[in-house]
Amino acid sequence: MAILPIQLMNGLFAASVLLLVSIGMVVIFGNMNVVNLAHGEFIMAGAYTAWGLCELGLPFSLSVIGAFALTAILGALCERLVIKRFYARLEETLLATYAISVIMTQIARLLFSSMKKLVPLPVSGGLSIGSLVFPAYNFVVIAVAVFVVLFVCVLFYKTGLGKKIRAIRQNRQMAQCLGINTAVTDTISFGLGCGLAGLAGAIIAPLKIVYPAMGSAYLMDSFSTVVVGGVDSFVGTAMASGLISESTSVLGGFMSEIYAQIIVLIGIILVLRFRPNGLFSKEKR
Amino acid sequence: MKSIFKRVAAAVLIGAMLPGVSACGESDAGSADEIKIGLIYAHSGSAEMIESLSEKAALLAINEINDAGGINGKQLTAVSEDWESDEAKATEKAKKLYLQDGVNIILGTCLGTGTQAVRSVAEENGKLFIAPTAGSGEDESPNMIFTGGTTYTFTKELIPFMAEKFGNRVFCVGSDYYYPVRIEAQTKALIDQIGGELVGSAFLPMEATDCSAVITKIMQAKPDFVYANVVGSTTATFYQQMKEYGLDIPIASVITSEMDAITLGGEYISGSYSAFNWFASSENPLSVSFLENFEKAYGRDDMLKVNATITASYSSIYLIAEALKSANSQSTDDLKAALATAEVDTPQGMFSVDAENAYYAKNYAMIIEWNDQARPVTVFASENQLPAEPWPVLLFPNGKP
Repeated sequence: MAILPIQLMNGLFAASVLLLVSIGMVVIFGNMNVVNLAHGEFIMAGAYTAWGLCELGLPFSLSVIGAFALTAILGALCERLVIKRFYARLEETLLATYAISVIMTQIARLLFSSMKKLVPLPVSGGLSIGSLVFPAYNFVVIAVAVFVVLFVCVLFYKTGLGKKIRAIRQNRQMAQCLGINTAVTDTISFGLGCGLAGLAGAIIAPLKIVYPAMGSAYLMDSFSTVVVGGVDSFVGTAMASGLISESTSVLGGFMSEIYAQIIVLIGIILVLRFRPNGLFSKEKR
Repeated sequence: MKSIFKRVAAAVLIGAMLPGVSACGESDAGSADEIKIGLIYAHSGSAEMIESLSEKAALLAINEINDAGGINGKQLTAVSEDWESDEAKATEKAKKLYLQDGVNIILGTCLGTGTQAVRSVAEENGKLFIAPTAGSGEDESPNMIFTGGTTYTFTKELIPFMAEKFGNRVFCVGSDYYYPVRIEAQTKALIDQIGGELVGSAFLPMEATDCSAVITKIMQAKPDFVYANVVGSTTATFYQQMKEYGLDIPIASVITSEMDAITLGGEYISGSYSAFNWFASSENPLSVSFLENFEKAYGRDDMLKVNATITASYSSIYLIAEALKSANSQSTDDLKAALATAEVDTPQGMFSVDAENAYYAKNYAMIIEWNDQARPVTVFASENQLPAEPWPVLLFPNGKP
């Protein structure tokens, strides 16, 4: 049994997970220049929503949509009540989003206790490719990741809303002068970013266990992926997820996973030394 | 940028102080009709789940003892502190308990980092510390007792049992820190002794969320069973992914307990084995009544999570009470002498400290198989108490170095 094809396939799956948890951050960090330290907590909120809706007997697919909707509304609320007041003030947004992350974790702890929850896999069992067997759900995750990237690309580059968001990113004042309601657009894009984080949480909930502090593990992962990919590039983030996950996975097949992680992290540092704006960032004037 | 750090630091400081304010215990030294016991358990962080229930078990025991008249007419009073799964906090809280609250004996912390922190404070101040869990051995302290004995005691029962049942090709998996690394070294020696083969071993990063690389290595090595000592949230991920990747290889562990099993459910855990000093399947009447009382006090959901460490918190209070009774004094030396000879019947069977290794208590060993309800089914229970082996003869033929 060859280790390379197995690890490549596992790497593809890990890349899809990484892409899902990072894409919401591209929307918020890349387009709104807000470092959302509560990103992981929105993932956690999505995971809990999926768990809760599944417990109520809803099919998993509906729970995922529910998780997206609920976290998007939650995100939009946070933007309206808090973030809105701190645009273009990096330090304040850092503190404000850190506070939101602490509050969300504590609320989850109060609501659900710190007991870990397990969401049942919507499709169990394995699918075989040749002589190799992979969990069937892995393929679902890969498909959802591809779909989500296509969805945000179409939304950003083919719709009026996307054009507005990109216009605001390029020149906020000019966009306002042209009659774009920047306040509404900001709320929508922050909500979208949080909703995507929640969707990621719902999709990964059956793979991992759900508990109040689960989000922090994903914050650094998604942050490094987005920075390596180039903060405002969906394709860049997709490529970065692929690179990071495939190299960790393939190296991990041949050596200890701990060394594999160290090597990949050193690689990330080197990339940022020579391309501080990320591998796939567009040249800016 | 400086101002950001200042502000973040201020926010963190304020945040860190808040729980301390609310958790302040009374600071007067024990009055004539009470005896204070310090409890250090985490109410947040990675150890929260197991330790908040451990504290409940300890409080249950203290209430039972007080209801039965206390110790030589004195009531036991618990002074509880939260170490937040943070070793620096554990040091701070242990100092507060020993020096400010005038406590002579602390029970608590199941996590290695916490036990080491409290132990250092106990040694510095000549006080006593009881950890309700098993130590990985190769270590001892005059001020501390691991009431769970040594993990090696259970590994020594589990590995030959699994080898006989499934075959002697073993794959070792562990989380990457001191405890599983020690267990792996001990396991290797045991496998050699029974003529088996260690076909591979791998360590997972702490809190790893993907075990697929290790599972690929297991697939290739084709072991007869996997000896897995994975901790934290990775435990669930590992058992789940083993099944999802279609590996039907039995998993044995001295770490996986009722708490992990309930999270995972029967689908993933059934057919796996665990060994330790106690499981909920114990038929000891004291164990049955302990679980009943725990359920009455805290509800069925919490009762189903009760594992050996939680039970040991309960039993340890009885051991401490017995020592306090016979010493009729609270001085460290008197208590230590009393603890060395104290023997008390608990849910875990007769509980006593190993006279040879005062650092570890003697324990019974149990091996269980997880059923499809994620509950333990006893497959082996030792008839006698087993001595702790901090320096296993297999690894240290000349004894303690």
